Amino acid sequence: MNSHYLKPAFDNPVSGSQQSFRLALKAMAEPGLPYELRLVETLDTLAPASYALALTLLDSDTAVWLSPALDTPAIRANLAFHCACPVVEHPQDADFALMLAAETGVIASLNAGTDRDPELSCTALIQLDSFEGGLPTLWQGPGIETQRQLCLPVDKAFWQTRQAVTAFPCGIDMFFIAGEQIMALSRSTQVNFQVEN
Amino acid sequence: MYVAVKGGEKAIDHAHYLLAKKRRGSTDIPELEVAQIREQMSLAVARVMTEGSLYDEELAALAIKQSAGDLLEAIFLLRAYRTTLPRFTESVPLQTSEMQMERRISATYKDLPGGQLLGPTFDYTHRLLDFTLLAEGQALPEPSQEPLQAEPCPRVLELLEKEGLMRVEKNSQADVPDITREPLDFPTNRTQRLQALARGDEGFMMALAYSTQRGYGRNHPFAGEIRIGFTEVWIEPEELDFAVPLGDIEVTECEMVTQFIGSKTEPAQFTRGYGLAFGYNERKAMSMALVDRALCAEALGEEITSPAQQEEFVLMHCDNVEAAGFVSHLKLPHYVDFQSELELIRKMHAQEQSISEEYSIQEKQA
Amino acid sequence: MISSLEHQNRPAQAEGYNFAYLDEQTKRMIRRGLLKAVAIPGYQVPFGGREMPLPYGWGTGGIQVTAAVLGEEDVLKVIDQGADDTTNAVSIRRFFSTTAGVQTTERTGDATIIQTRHRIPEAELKKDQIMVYQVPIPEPLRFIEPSETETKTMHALNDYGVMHVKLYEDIAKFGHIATAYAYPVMVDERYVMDPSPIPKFDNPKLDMSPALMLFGAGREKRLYAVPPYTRVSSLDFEDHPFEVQKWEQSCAICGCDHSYLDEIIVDDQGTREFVCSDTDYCGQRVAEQEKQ
Repeated sequence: MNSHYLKPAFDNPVSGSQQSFRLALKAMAEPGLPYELRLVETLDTLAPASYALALTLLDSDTAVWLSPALDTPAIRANLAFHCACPVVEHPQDADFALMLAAETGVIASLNAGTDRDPELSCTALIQLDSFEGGLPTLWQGPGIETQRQLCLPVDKAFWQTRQAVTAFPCGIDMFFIAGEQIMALSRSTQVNFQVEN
Repeated sequence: MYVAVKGGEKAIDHAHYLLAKKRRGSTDIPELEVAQIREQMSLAVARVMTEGSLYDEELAALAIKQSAGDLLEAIFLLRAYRTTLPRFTESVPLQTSEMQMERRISATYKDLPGGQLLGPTFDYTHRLLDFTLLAEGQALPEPSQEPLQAEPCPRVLELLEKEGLMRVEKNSQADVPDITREPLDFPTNRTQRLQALARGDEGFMMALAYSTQRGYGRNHPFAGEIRIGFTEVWIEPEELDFAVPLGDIEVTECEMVTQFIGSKTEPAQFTRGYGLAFGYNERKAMSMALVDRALCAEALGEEITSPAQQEEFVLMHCDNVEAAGFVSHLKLPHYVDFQSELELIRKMHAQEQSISEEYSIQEKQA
Repeated sequence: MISSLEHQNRPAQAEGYNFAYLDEQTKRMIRRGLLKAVAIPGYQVPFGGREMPLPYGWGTGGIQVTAAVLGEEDVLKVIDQGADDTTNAVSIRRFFSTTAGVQTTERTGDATIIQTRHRIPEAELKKDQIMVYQVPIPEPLRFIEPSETETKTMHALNDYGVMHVKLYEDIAKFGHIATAYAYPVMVDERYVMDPSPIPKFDNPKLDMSPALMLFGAGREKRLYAVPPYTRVSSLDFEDHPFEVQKWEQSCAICGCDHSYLDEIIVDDQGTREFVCSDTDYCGQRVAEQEKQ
């Protein structure tokens, strides 16, 4: 057991995971709104909010895929110890896929569910440097009263990939993480590029 | 002016007090001990363990005491307790062929290796109320023969398999599903069905089994073998390379020999229905075996003509904790929805009223 | 009469239970299911529902959802038929007092989580409030098509023909749609959903609400959700638009003419009086009136 990699999880696992979950729930219920999730420290290349989401959502029933940037001995050791989640080699077998913005091409290979069982889809956790600085996009749909403008620092190819995997109810639900902040993008959200005036 | 009635909390507290009183009955009579129930109502304990999906005679007996003999309440108590228990491993499949049998019978052969061992059965009793049981302290009758225990012996259906007459059940090597953690999805597989039937209501299962015997999906069953006795439970923890025994449990196993007329690709063979229950629980194991076989109809390419063969109908309604809960929920206040229905019916009456009034006005004018 | 126990101070959590009774693995399983439900509004997500200490059919789905979302800082309201004092609401509120030690309230405005059976409160819900609905039969097509295999296919194919036929047949037979509660709705123009047995009077409150709506069916083992600000429309036809119930009477206690009223029989002759179903709303109105 790689015990020298081990880092603490939540101070109080019961309330830590409950609070993290409430933020994740709010985020997914209202896509595009950022929330602060500050309950654990950075874990190697895993941002604090990613680590918190992992501790909250992963366990022996969830197959996890780690991108090359996040597939480190320290992260594996802590996920094994705190979550006991099986780590899979192939993205298509994953229930959760963790990655950086530069690695989002893999989204095209993730399980997007079926019309009959859309909930079988994989959920992506995508780490960004921040929530700003990218192409302006307009989001609308459930959870958004009118529309919301976001400029996430992801490239155009990302939005094209997302479009390719989305055929509601099939799709990939996503959490974006920037340090200690999270934001969600539901498969039900329509994203359009902001038209230049 | 109407003043709203309050006091739900007090009413509930008083109901709990009255229930405790009712459960205890007259305090002139000694209180029942859990140990007495465990020892002297072992068949009730067996049912509660089986349908509660938890092998623990003491807890089952406690549940029976707590529910004043309402076995479905007791089953519910055990299930709710089971929910709180951590699930940390699966056992190795039970080797019922190694069973220390106290009862072993077969209706398909007059005599066979291992013999017919009647064991402690009601089968040949005459159902005459025994008033001597009203008094206590009865001495046990003398045994009529030397104590017998069946030596481990070949299973009846294995004998038929060897002759090529009985369909061999193959081990699919797949992970064992757990229907208590992942809800049933249709179509189900046989493993899921057996789990559901094992914890299903004995009465429902018996009625369905009975229906198959009366022509609602007949499969010509014979009781190939019924075994009752103690079997060891083994687990194989990840840290060890070998299995270790946890202890013995008493189980009842029934294999029904049933018909299969064959298909284009398969020869005619006997098939089997399988039933397994905790404790001494024969009626349940037999009923389960008949229903198991009925639900194999689809896989065997047989026409589905009866309720016992319809998996959604059987599996969605066989759990008595679910069934009892939903049936009894009708006791809960439903006055808001009933108000909606009242309003709808009154509206319909008013419409009919005005239509008939209009009609009689027209008639007068004519 | 307004209860003097509107705000109960936080009781001590009973020993021997995990917070809110459920073990952490079960909570995680439900939480993952809720996230999927929120991402697919109106779609029924299967979940591994557990036996709870209350019977199936008595709110175990709602209880499991509440148990999975509830935190120490929440303020919980539990109602049944719109009232806080009905016996099952009392029983469920007690369950959470004992197993979670959370603060409870009867005031809709003060609650962060409201677990309900068969009603939506009259007071407008606010952002960040969570409604948890107890659902007996989650499948809106169930009484038209008993087979789950069939109804799953209909939802997958977005084929709700049987429902439209049923509603049309009602109109042909009765002159109007004969469903008064659990009135089916269309969510985000994709899934037909059963809003739980709330009277159709309450359906409009689901449309573009600032609150998050979570639905739990314990016995049937399904979760579903409507995020805030989601389009929810009651099924109808252009020439037979959806209508809500109206009363000639007003509430005998507070005089309200726009809330859902319960009918009370007050004597052997069957004399009827009508009072607000939502006891907190009624009580707040009386309090306001007494101030003036």
